[in-house]
Amino acid sequence: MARELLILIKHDCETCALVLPALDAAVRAGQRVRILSQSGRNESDVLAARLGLRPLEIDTDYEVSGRFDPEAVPALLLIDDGAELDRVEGFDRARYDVLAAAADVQLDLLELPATQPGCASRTRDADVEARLRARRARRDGRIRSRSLRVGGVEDVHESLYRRGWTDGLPVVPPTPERVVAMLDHTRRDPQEVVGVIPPYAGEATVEKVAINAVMAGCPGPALPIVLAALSAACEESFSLQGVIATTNPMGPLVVVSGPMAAKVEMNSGGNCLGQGNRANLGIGRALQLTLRNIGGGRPGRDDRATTGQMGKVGACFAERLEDSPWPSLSLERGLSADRTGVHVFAAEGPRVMSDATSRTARSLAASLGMVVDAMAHPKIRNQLAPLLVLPPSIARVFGREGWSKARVKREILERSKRPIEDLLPGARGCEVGQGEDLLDDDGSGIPKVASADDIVIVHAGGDVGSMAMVMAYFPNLTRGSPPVLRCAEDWQ
Amino acid sequence: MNEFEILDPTSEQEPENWPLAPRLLRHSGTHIGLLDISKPQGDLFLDEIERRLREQGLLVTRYRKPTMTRPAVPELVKEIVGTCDAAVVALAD
Repeated sequence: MARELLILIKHDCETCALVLPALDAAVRAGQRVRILSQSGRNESDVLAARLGLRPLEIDTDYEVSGRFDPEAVPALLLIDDGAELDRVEGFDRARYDVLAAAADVQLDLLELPATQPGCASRTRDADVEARLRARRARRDGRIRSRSLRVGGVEDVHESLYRRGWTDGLPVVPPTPERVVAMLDHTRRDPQEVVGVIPPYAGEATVEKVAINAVMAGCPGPALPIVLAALSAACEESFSLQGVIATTNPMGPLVVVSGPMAAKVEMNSGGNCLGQGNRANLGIGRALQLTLRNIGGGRPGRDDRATTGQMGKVGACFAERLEDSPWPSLSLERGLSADRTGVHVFAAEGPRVMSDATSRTARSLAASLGMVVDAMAHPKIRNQLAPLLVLPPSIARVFGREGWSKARVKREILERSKRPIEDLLPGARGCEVGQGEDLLDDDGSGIPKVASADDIVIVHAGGDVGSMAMVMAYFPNLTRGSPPVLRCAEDWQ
Repeated sequence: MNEFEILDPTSEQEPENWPLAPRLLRHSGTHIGLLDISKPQGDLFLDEIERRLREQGLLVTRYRKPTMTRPAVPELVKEIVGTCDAAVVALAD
């Protein structure tokens, strides 16, 4: 029989100090007792000196404490061949006697009080608990990524940047503790492959996405949105290879429509396309870092963007649902109101449509139509379609006059028209143009895009100001990367 | 600063370098594929390349992707690999 007593203690626990002399005496007497300190070497030595004990054995890296994970110390455990038979947390003289007898150990406890509560085990401290969880995740195969050591003499941020793992800005170092905490926000298996990312066909597992989400500073509750967005971007029709490699300044734009946006504190109001909101910026950046780090497409090497645009650091915002005159993008696409649509568009940078003068829907539609007409190039049709971000002050005018979303789209399409002679090569003093055979002219002029369905309207922005934003995106399968929809709740 | 552990954010498969293919030895039977990816004016570029290659007595076959926005389909890649000794892709704008 290999029964023994094991006691876990820490230096700053008076109940531990109370029982330690009796246990140390048993060790000195050669009995089968093992004392393990959760505290560091120095602190443990100070405690041992104070109590006149032999030097304490340290439970290095909480290897044993983590295994038995007591709530409180002192924790006295009756062990048989490594397996726990019984335990006492805190001090209870009668119970100590029972365990000692079972281990055939003599403990002199007569001077001690009948009971005394212990202190919280170090394994319940937030930092240690996180470290132990990370270790368990590694052991269970939930975490499989290669582990590296950084810091020491090198600056962490410089070292991550030099490895090519950032977008140029500092990132949050993806420690196992942070990654495991991030993974708490999805029930998906960390080893599930969310998508295969071009150009080097990197497999993006949930774990890898979580690592990049940590680096991006993405809030944990927003992880399902990042996973949904990545799944959408990896859909074959989205043609991610083209989006990543193109000379065009497009990048994946994430539009979130539904209840999860507010829950993760996304911004759908003032400055929603700008700075200041961690969820908006973190989701967009997490997607971009995942694409670059897993797919291997680096700017200047595989990403051949001529100029790029600032939104390639990350582009994400939420639809303003509460006072929109229209059904949301999600509802338009058939999702129910309790579901959160995550759309990914291959979109260029936003430009403003500023109109503080118009008071009628017709006049506003004309303003929008003119800006849409000029997108990318005023003489090019049927390539890029507009994603319009309309703030309350503009949407309200359409709503007041009872224009449905479909009508707004039709009217904007109508007002984007140009006579065919304006669009031919050479017209307006410009060589650009499409041949007559490519333009379908019914005599009323050629609209920017063939179908009003390709115009996307999103209600978002602050309460004040008549600034709409226009982003050109690739609408259809033959010419590019049509938007893809996923539901965030599927990735929780 | 203390050293600490981080997890690799990459797919962990990036090779240390991308070796160049062996140089092509030209002879009269060398067959070059020219792939037009459907970018504007890619044809002008490839017309010139084709003229120069034919002047050198090489065989030339032209190929075309239906759209520049998608990678070449595996069948097309297979056909080029099966037919040609080398290929030139026109990334023109």
